[in-house]
Amino acid sequence: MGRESALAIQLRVLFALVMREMTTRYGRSVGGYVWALLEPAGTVALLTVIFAQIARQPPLGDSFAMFFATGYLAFHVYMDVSRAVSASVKVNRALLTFPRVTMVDTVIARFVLQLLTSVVLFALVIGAVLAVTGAQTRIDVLYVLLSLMLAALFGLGVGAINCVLFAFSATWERVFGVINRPMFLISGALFVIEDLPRPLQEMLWWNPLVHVTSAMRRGFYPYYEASVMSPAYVVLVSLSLLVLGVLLLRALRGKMLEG
Amino acid sequence: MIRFERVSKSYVADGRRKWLLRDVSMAWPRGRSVGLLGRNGAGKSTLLRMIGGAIEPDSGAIRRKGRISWPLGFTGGFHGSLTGAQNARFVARIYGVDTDDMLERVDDFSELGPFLHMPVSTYSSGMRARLAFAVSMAIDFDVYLVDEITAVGDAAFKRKCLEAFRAKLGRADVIMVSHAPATILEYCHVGVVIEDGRLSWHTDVRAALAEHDVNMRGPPPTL
Repeated sequence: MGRESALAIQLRVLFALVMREMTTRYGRSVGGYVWALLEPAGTVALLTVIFAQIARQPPLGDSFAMFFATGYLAFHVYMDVSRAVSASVKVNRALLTFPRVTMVDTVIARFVLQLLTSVVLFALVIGAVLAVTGAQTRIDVLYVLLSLMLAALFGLGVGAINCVLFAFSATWERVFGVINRPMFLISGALFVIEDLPRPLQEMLWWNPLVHVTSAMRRGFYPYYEASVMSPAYVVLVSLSLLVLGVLLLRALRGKMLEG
Repeated sequence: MIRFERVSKSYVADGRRKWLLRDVSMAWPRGRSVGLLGRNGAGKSTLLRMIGGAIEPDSGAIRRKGRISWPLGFTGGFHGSLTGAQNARFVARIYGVDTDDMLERVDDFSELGPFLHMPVSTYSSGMRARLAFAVSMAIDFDVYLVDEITAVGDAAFKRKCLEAFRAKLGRADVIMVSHAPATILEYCHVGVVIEDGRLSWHTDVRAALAEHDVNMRGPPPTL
């Protein structure tokens, strides 16, 4: 039995966890994957139908489907990632039997798997919207990637904190669910922040998700300048949450082991 | 090699602090099998789980070298919605054992037959225990942790478990908790008695059993 490096063990544990997550989450039914695809696509379709009745033109371009897809799907990446990461402690407590597996490992595994899934879903739904609407656009891939990266990073930060807090407080889990619900309305899926009145703009600027949707729109609408967007702000907030979450995970490991 | 560096562990019961370990430093050498002795509630099982890493000390550190098993027979680590085979593969991946090799050995040892490919949530507790035992036998641990060799399955299966376990002991050490002095004498060279937050080490397991005997006759120290 050779002595292995810590890195080799780490990578093996992560691989084992990703395989395990894949079988437990989607392995048993194709339905899981289909629903993961239909939910965001359906929301975009619904928004398109409703707003096409109310307004004559979307705030950017001339396709409602394109406008809502670029906003909602970016927001959706955040939602999926934060939800997946938030559950990592609760779902995997039994794994602590194996001292090689740490809670930080399960956070990383769930993050990686969800990020890959979310990016594929995003590409599929956006591709479908482009095909259906026949929209002609020059896509700036760098901004699209920037938006996905910011959405995932913020989701990771929020999830890392919440996976600890949820494990200790069911009340907070419920309260957070209530706070998180209207997030969709104030995250720029439905509007462009630069169009809003000044005081409202200054308030909503603090929501990191506004910058996520701005970056995505910047990627799909070449003439949209996203003049108030600040990726650095999102990175700063996300990394602070992430560091705090990892510190909590380590500090409270003993408590979590004893349940 | 397992090394305790100023390890403390306590809990509060009925408003009083009870020490399981109080500032204990100790090296557990390789090549010796250890019997853990102590009165009920002295902390034997907790100590075993601390060695395995499933419980953390309040202060101090436990350093480990080599592969240490989870307490043998413990079935809590399996995922109910995964099949026995999928769970076995997961453990194989964590410990760097070939997954096909693991499956073959588990299939052969556990005698679960077609149930190996059913979700673990459908297993009886006996089937879970057989799976757990088979999985831990398929990995070559350097140290096996045993919390009472409990009865698994029928007499034939019990005999098979003991044989497999004895075969392992040629290459691995064991740290064992048992209430039966005969079992301790059979498997262990040295003894450690846990009493009132201290560990006392005896190079002869019989001396440890003698001290344990004296403890059991005396009044509990905390009352």
